[in-house]
Amino acid sequence: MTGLNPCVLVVEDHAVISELWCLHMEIMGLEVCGAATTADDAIALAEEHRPAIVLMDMRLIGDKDGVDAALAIHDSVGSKVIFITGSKEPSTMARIAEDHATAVLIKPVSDHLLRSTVETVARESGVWL
Amino acid sequence: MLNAAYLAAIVESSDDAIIGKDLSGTIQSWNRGAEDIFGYSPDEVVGRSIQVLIPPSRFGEEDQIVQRIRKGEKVVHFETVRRRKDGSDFPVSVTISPIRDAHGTIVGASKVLRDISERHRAQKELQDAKTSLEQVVLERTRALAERDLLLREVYHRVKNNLQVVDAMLLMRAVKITDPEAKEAFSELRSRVFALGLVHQQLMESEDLKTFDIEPFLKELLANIMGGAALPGIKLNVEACPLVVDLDFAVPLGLLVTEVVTNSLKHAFSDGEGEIAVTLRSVAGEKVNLTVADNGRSHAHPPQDTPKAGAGANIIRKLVAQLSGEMTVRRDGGTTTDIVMPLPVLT
Repeated sequence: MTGLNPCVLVVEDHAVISELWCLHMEIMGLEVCGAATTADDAIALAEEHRPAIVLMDMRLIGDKDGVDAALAIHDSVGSKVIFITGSKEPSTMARIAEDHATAVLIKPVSDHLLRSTVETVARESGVWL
Repeated sequence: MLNAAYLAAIVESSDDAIIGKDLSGTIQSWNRGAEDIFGYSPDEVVGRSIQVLIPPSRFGEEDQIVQRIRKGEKVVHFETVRRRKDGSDFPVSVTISPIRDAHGTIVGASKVLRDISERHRAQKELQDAKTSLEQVVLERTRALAERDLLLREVYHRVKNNLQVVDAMLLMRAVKITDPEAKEAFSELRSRVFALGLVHQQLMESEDLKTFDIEPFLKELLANIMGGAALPGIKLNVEACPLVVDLDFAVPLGLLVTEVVTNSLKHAFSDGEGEIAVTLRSVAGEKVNLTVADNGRSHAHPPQDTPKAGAGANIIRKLVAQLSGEMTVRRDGGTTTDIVMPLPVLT
């Protein structure tokens, strides 16, 4: 996908967890272009910054969930979406399967799993040189 | 050949209503059973139309029956509704047969009616009982589903809160430069992760109470190894399938975390070596947890310093919580062997 920028969008409704993902990106030396707590904000920020990677929580503030946001971002921007979900329940996983998720991580996510997943996706995106 | 009086006696003694009528529908004969069921004496109905016994909404039915009788057909166990003298309707089963004269010409019909109110009442009671039972089952199923949903939500929230605690620990830890303090934070995070992982496994389990220890142990240890960032140290995990609950998994998870962290901290001064974690079931009665490293022998942890003693205390207490026995061997490495009873699942 062309036209993507070497940055990460964090979508998470819990302030501390959002900060945790941002911190991990910072430790990894990746720029965070924005942090959203609703699907609409996530879509707007993605369209504005065109991030190569989106870290996407499943449960968000408002009526729309992470899959709604991810589907819209996939269509308009084409970012790689890494889902971070609190549950691996069949209903949640089926919902995520509707999207084109690059990876799905289940909370609690260990540091090394998060970082190795982001690293792999970043490398494969070819956006970071 | 039986005589007419004999046959009449049989008809008269029947509990069923036996009614004779001609083709125009006029009642010709009326037995004792008919009297009991309908409440009319023979004087009151013989010579009157059969319609006196039929609710008006069922008149059409009678016309069809007459047509069939005229064709010589028989109507067997036809279930319908009839009306008593007091105006009340009741369910009946009717068998209607043509009556022929000596030449074989159909001249009328015999009606044998049985009052099936009792059967209908029993059927209705059965249906009502079934319906109320189905209702109870439905309510129970719903209550159970609600309980499951609630329980899953509780695990979810406990897990998320533990992730929040972990996040706050990391945020504080990144500002620390003192290596000992950094290590302390890292160890704390491993323990918090162990608790979070137990709740994750519970939330995903089918009964919301028990789960297999093997994937739990593997993920737990992968996190510890990832956090330690010591690429020269190999970890080998072997676990038998073992169904555990919260009461077993929490102390076991914390115990494994403590013992393996000790090995990582004290056994490998050159950053090279191996740790093997094994969980075996012994004779179907006991569980044997072994953590063996091939590094330099270390105590558990060295007991000469007060802060190390705190770790040893926790290990001892976790072993006691699991009703286990611990032995530590030091010969070209340290092997911690803990034998405990199988988890008792309630």
